[in-house]
Amino acid sequence: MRRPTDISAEAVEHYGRLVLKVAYQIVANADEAQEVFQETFLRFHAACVRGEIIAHPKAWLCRVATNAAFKIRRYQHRALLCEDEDIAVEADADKDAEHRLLMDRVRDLAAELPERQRMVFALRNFEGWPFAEIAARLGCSEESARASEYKALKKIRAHLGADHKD
Amino acid sequence: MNRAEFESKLSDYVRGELSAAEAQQIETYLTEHPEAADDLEAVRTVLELSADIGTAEPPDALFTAARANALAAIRAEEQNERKTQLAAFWQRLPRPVYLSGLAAMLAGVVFGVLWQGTSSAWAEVVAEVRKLNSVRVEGWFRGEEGEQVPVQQWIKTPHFFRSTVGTGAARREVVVTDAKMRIYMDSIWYGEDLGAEGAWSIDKVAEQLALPERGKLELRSYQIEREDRGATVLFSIWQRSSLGSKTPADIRYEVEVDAQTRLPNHSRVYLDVGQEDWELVSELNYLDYNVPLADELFAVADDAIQPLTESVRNALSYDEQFPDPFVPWNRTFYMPLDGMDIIVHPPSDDPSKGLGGLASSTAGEITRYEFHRTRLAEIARNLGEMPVEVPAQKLAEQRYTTRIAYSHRLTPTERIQRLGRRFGFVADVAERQGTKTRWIFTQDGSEFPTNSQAGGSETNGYNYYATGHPLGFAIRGMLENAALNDLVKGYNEDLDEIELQWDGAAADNPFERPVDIAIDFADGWDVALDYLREHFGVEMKRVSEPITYEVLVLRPPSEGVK
Repeated sequence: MRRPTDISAEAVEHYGRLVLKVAYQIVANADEAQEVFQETFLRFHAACVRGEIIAHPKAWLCRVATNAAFKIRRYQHRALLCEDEDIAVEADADKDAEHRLLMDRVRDLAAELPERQRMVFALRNFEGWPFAEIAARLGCSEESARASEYKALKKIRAHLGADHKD
Repeated sequence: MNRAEFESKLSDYVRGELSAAEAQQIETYLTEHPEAADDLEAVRTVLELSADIGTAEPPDALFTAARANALAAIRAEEQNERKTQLAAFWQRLPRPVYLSGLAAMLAGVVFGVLWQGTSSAWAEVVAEVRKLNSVRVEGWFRGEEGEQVPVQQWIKTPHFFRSTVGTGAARREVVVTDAKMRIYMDSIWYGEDLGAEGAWSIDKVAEQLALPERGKLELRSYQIEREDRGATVLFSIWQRSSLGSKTPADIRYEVEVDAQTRLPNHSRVYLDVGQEDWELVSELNYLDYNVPLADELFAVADDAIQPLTESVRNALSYDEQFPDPFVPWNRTFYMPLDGMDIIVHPPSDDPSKGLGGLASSTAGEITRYEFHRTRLAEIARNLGEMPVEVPAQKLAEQRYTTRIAYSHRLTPTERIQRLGRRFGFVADVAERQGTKTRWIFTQDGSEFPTNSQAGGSETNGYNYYATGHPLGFAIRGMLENAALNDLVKGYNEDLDEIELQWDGAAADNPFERPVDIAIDFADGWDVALDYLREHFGVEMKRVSEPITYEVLVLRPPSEGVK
């Protein structure tokens, strides 16, 4: 029987780059991406130690990493709002900075979406998964996945618009 | 095309992933429904921004660092688990069982570590060891109470090894001949076949010397010094912990090698007890090289041997500690506090980037922690065993690298007080208001199918499949997985409790019975509850109550109480 440590190490080798990419795209910060990376694989390891067989490690890891990254994102976003409400206004002199800021806003708004919408949005748009695969991994129909994405896009756009008006 | 179809395909249209016919349908819909242009703009705007996010690639160097840190953390976890098991084992079984395993490994400690010097001198030592026919080792190491526990070992080609530890009723032995291992404890011999891979030999020792397992060694770092003393050469090796090169060394080995024969004469192991003070915890002499040893020395009467059961094996942490006497890297030394209650190594501020981590182990009545780039709150939470708040931002963000050992005589509050003196903070216990929910599961006494064929469990977070799992174990797994994915609202892992209530005889406890589970609860936790009720007669209720709980509030000494 293989040791959990060996299984986990193998998962790091096989899926590590994917997990890091997921984390990095959402948190947009090297240190936090590393934390997500570590947390994800430690959770994977804990599951292995408990004797759980993870049938679809790629999907499992992506989901856990996405959740963990968005959790950090939510925390950061809320902390930022408490500290400095005017950060968006201050940065708008620079086009690139504004674009980066908008990307950050998309990340923050995605973090606030309901679970399924958030997951579909991230897997489809950050990771490029086809709807069929997303549906299979989330245990829903492809139509349901598409509907979730549409709702997510509309919600994000609505809040982006509100920010601009501010 | 209706509205639902339009919404369903709009994002693929923007991405250009629809067929020409489907794209035409979308465009027709847009023409017929001008108000839908807003939807198109909304989707396009977000997708353009998302596409830029999706192309962001982490630097290679980041992956290298993340990979290394994650692997180190996983292995540290493994080490922690093993040490925890060992600690638990110590509390259940007489000490010398473990000591015998430790004794069996000590020769390997000095050999294996020395190889890290990769000097030509050491290569010669390895070559000389490979030529050995036999050796006797004699010495001691420090026991739980600080006493010196005697140990003897005999090693002989091709496949003979014997180690005795302790004396009288506390005597324990390990004997390995060919591919068979015998363990003596509590007046009983236990036995097991190791298989060809497990057969012990001096060649195997030499292999370990020449090719130590890099995978295990890479987590630790060593500083090695060599001192020529005329007739002997003294090698001193400082071993750092598994948490990286920034942690201070905590074990020091000294090996005295005969300059002429190039074989070890003597070894000592020291443990850092703080303030640059090193405690001698083991001393071994290597004697009688190539003096013939009778086969009878390694004989154990077959009719006296009982099979090594799974439960005994588990209690011994057998797999890791016994079969291979010369893999010394995962073991616990006792930290003698010599009347002190706590040792806190001087904390070093560490402004470097990267992840933090901690490792802990308990041996006897002493717990040791190693913190690497860890926030003060996390250190205090571990020692104080309660939630921690650090209002002062600077204090909260500072990371430290340190090691701490404390006696279980100290209460958590006392530990925090001592910690504060060294780290420069004062701590107050404050009360907070919160809600604690008891997630109570009961079973109605009805019978349900069981499956004693042990299997495994599997989940993707939205479902749970298990074969031969205790019902209670599965329920916990289901709930925790559902909570992880936000399918259960209101579950607070810090404050809440899961209770599996059963008032009947322990032997009849339904939550202990192994069952098969197959449930998909992606649509919500209620689905899982229906399943548990229908298949196992299990009900769940939640009892929430406002609670006042305590937190530790850490602040700089100059600040007043807030």
